[in-house]
This record gives sequence, C-alpha cells and structure tokens, in this order.
Amino acid sequence: MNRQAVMLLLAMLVITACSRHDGPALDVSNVRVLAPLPGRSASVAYMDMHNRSQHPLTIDGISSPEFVRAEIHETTLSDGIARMQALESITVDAGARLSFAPAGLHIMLLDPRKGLLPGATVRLELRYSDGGLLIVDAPVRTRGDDVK
Amino acid sequence: MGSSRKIVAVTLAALALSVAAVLAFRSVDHTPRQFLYATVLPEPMVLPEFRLNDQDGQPLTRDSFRDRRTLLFFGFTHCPDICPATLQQLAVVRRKLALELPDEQDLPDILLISVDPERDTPQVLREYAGHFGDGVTAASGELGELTKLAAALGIYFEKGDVSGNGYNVNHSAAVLMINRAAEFQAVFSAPIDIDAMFADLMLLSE
Repeated sequence: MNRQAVMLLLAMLVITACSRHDGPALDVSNVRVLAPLPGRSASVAYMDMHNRSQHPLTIDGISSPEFVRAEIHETTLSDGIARMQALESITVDAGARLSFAPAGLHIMLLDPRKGLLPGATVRLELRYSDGGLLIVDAPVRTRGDDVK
Repeated sequence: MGSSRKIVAVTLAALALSVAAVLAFRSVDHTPRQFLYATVLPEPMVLPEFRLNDQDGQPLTRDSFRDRRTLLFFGFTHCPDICPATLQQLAVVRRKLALELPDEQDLPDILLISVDPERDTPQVLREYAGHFGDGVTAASGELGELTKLAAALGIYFEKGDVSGNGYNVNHSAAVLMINRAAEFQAVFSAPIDIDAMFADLMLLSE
C-alpha cells in the first residue's frame, strides 16, 4: 500500500469512526449528539450510515461510556400521530444508506454519568450482530443548530 | 305576441340580474388564496371552554387566545425527538416572520400544550419552553381539561409504553393555528415544512 493510501485510510478512521471488526464495516458520517434540554437528562444522537459492502450489516446493541444506557428508538408518524418504540436492532442492506434523523430513527442516550455541554465529545459503541464494534466519537451540539 | 314580449322582458331582467351579480362579485376579491401547506378550515371553529394552567401557574382559557395568533402544538417535555424538533422549527418560522412583520403583535405565539401533566409541572414547562427562544411558552393542566380541548381540535393523545425514558405519550404531531378571535383556523400536518409554513402564515396574516 502506498503512503498516500495509508494517509487516506488513517484520515478516514479519524474523521468518521473506527471499527474493531474483521468483516465489512458501516461508513458513518454527520454524527452529532444533541445536548439535553433544560430539566431533561436524556440526549439523542443522530448520524448517517452507508453500507458499502456486499452484505447486510446489523447493529444489535449500543452503549456509551458517558451514559448508563443507550437504546435505538424510532419515532413513527402514522395518521398524523407520533409514536415512539425501542428497536432491538437495525439492519443496513448491502449498498444502502440509513439516516438517524429527527422524527425518525434516533439513539436515545439515558442517564448521563456527568453533565454534558456543547463542544464535548461522546463515544458511541455500536455492536455488530457478529460481535464486532463500531466506535464513533460524536460532538455534542446545541439543539437547533441544524434547523434552518 | 303578449307571451313572447313577456319572455323577452323576463330574459332581459334575468340578464340584468346576472350582470349585476357578476359586477358585485368582482367588486370583492374572491380569488382563492393558494396555500402551499396549510389546511384552512372553511369556517373557523370557536375553541371550546376549557381551563388549563400556563407555565407561570396562571389560568389559560379560551380568552387567553384572543387578540394574538397562536401556533399550537401538543407534546411533552420527555419527548426526545419530534417535540423539540417541532418547537425548534416553529421558532425558526417565527424568526423568519419577524423579518417581514416588524410589529411584534403580528407574530404568532408558539404554545406547547403538554399532554403529560403528571411530569410536566409549570416549573418544568417554564424551564423547557425558555430554551426555544422568544414567543415560545408552554401550558398543561388536568387530564379532563386537556382531553376536552384536544378532542375538540381533533388531537389524539394516549399514554404509551414504558421505555428507558420512563414512559412515552403517543400524540398527534400536527400544528394548529388559532386566530385572534380564539378560533381554530388552520392546521399544518407533520412533518413540518418550514418554508411552506412561513409562506402560508404570511398569507394568513393579510
């Protein structure tokens, strides 16, 4: 592998995520954790996933050292009614993209171990169904920063 | 001959009436306004009598809606996703309106009515609503009063499953516009389209 390719690979690892995983991995981008609202302790994380591999990839567990619990939730709108449910896992099909975004999929981060301020970084550990780990460092942002 | 004269006279009278009607119709602008997003009620609906408490613990009744336009959203503060996203979007719409409507009186108030009175006390609501900026407040109250208002407005809510966040409340995610006469005038269905809502609220403010 030439030097340029190595540098590119290193840059990608730093910018997006790192993976303790032997098989194919998900590309993760646009990761952000929204700081809790006043009086609330729960935070929410959003991100975009892209499975560039030839195989479906399943995430069946999430944790974060900064929080006691992390769960995958989905808000659904049906007949104008918003409902939220916890999901055991999510699967990104081969070649497909999946967005965790407001009013849809989101990662609930519950019971922070310490106060969380904008500018901090939260480590998200997403577990592949085969046991590998996808580790994502997410910046904490103020809510509303991405609403234009 | 008499009968054909009569027919001519009746025809002429009918014609004259038609012309008069057309002229009268034209004198008022009946061009239908084109809303991009809002569903505007043909006849605004008077709010029912109800009594809730605002974030300062003061009564919130039908009369509280008079003389101001209000964008009304039913949600709850433990809702991590769609409620803060919607309030954030409404705050952006209000800021866009403020650039066009210099008189603060013309800007809509944004009101969150919490359908989770068990957890959303006035103090919790005040702290929460304050995060979203100018013009955003919150209220809640007894379940019976909440149900009365919500039902009249076609809003559904129901305590849902217990989750990692305590429990959820499933609820309609539409935004309702209440006019200055305390009448339900228009509804914006979820998900919110900021630009279309801004355009429609400009039309509705004419």
